[in-house]
Amino acid sequence: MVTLVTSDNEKFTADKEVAERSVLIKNMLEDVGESDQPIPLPNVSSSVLKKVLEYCEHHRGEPLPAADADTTQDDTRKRTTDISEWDQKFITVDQEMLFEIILAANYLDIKSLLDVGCKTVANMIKGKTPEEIRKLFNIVNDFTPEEEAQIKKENEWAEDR
Amino acid sequence: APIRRLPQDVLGEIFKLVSCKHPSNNSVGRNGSHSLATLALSQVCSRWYNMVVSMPALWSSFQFGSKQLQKPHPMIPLFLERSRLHKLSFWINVEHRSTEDFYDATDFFSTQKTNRWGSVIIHGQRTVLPATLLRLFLANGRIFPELRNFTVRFSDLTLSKSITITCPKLQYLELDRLDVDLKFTQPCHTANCTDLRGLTFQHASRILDSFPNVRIIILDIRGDDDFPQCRPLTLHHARIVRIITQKDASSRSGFVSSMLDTITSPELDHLMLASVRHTEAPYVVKSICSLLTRSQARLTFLTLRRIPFTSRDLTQLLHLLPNLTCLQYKENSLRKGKFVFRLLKVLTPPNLRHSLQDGDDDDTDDDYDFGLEQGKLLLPNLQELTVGTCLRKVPLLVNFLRLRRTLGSSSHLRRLKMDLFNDSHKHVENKSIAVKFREFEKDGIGISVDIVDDGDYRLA
Repeated sequence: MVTLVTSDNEKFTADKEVAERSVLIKNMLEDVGESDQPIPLPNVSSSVLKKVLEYCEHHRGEPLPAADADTTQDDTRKRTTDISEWDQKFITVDQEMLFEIILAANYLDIKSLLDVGCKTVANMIKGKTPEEIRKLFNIVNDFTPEEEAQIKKENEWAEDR
Repeated sequence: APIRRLPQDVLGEIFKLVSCKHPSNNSVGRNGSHSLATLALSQVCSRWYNMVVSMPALWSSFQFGSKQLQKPHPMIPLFLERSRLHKLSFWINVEHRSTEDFYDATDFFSTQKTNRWGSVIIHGQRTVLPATLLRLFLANGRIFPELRNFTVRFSDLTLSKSITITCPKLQYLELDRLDVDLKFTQPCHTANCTDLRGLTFQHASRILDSFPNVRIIILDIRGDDDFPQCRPLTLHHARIVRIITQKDASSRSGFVSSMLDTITSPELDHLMLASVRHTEAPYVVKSICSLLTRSQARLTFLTLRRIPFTSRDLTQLLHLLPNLTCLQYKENSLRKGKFVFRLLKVLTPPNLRHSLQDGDDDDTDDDYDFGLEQGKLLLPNLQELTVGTCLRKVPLLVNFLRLRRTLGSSSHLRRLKMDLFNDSHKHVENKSIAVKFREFEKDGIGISVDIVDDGDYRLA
């Protein structure tokens, strides 16, 4: 078993096999060797780590993507935005949590979870206008009037038809 | 906004998923109607604009109509410029009213651009592809250093002159209804899959000669007067070969068998053959037998579609395939189950065949056991059987499984898949048929039923 300590100081214990789906944790465990020392995860809160461990537990035993996987394979994996049924259910969370999971997956280096998060955001963006995207993610339109005019001119041909 | 917390590389990956998954994510269609994911991303905020403009990958995948090439649409130069040196992946839809004039498109076909072509799909949408357009792509002596995928669909064209090109990285070539004598200056060692339809066998075999490592081959060959002069073709690494024949070819007596007689394929694992005329079937079976013997191939998967055969032909063929684990047979819907009956009879040990009731008495085909011992199976390793036949053959299939059950658990199939066309003129549900096979669940046989109408059956 491995003990993980979150940013809000909560302790989680997980099977080594489950925790090692994170390349970061796997490398840390290799570095410290046989030790009961808890592993601090200062960038992950308890509510997020709970979700991440749920994901790792479900995918326990599945082959991990090779660290030196060639780019062709990598491209193929990235190009499809299909998400399995379980993953879809798992990632149906509010936006705050969705981005926290993506950040945690990136920090902990869990490629497959990062993929699921990125694909989910990509699917949310697809088919939307810039205004709809801003509204969806609460993004402020910070173009200056000059920049806006310049972009409009650049893309005049693509005005709605 | 929580999305602002994402690091640039993660946001960049999301942008790639939005823009580069398929060329249609950035497309301009007929009358200039468009869907432009990359442009939409660039107009959200200044951070996104700067990121999108600085990522060539987001501008490297696009789709447009051939009309947009005649007088280049503003999207094309913009994407070409912003994709910088990135490999290009594009899809051209050929529209109905495309004329033969592509003079203004010469920049698009300049060497500077073709050097970056990674994936090119020209889709004819059942319209005739202008020969002038195709000649711009397949000009003699052209070099495509990065091209991985080249696809031309629905072209209905025959190019009379042979064309020599260089594609050192080609992985996939699809030519659909395009007969062209395509030559490669050097072998394409990376090519692993090809789909050649509407070519003469001579032209298809010249292409295959240049693909020494091709593993998956689909051939739909048209009739060719010079066929008998074809030289032997060795497919060194082909594992899956699917041969369909066009009407003009299958109507020529001896065509398919002559074609098979030229092929040697030592690593062949899955052979699929479709649409052979009744008169040619015995010759085709002999040719498959000789292909397998010549190649010393250990086939595990055989698919036969719309091929009429006698029990003798079939027994001779299957006798050569002791390693076969998957067998698919789909018969012509007009045959009313006659050939499926023959198949099931052949798959039943000789001493039990008299118990295999068909109910249709019009089959005068002789039983043939090829010296098989009583109580022995012709295909002892068969695990999956797929049959396409008419609905009224269901009792025959039940009877077939019951007879095999008497041989013990070693003879059990793992899976029986049935594609049944409804010849009963009544609505029948899949589950009402599946229930007739429930007794075999305890034998561990997975049953799958799909009932379709005659039209769908022919198309499938």
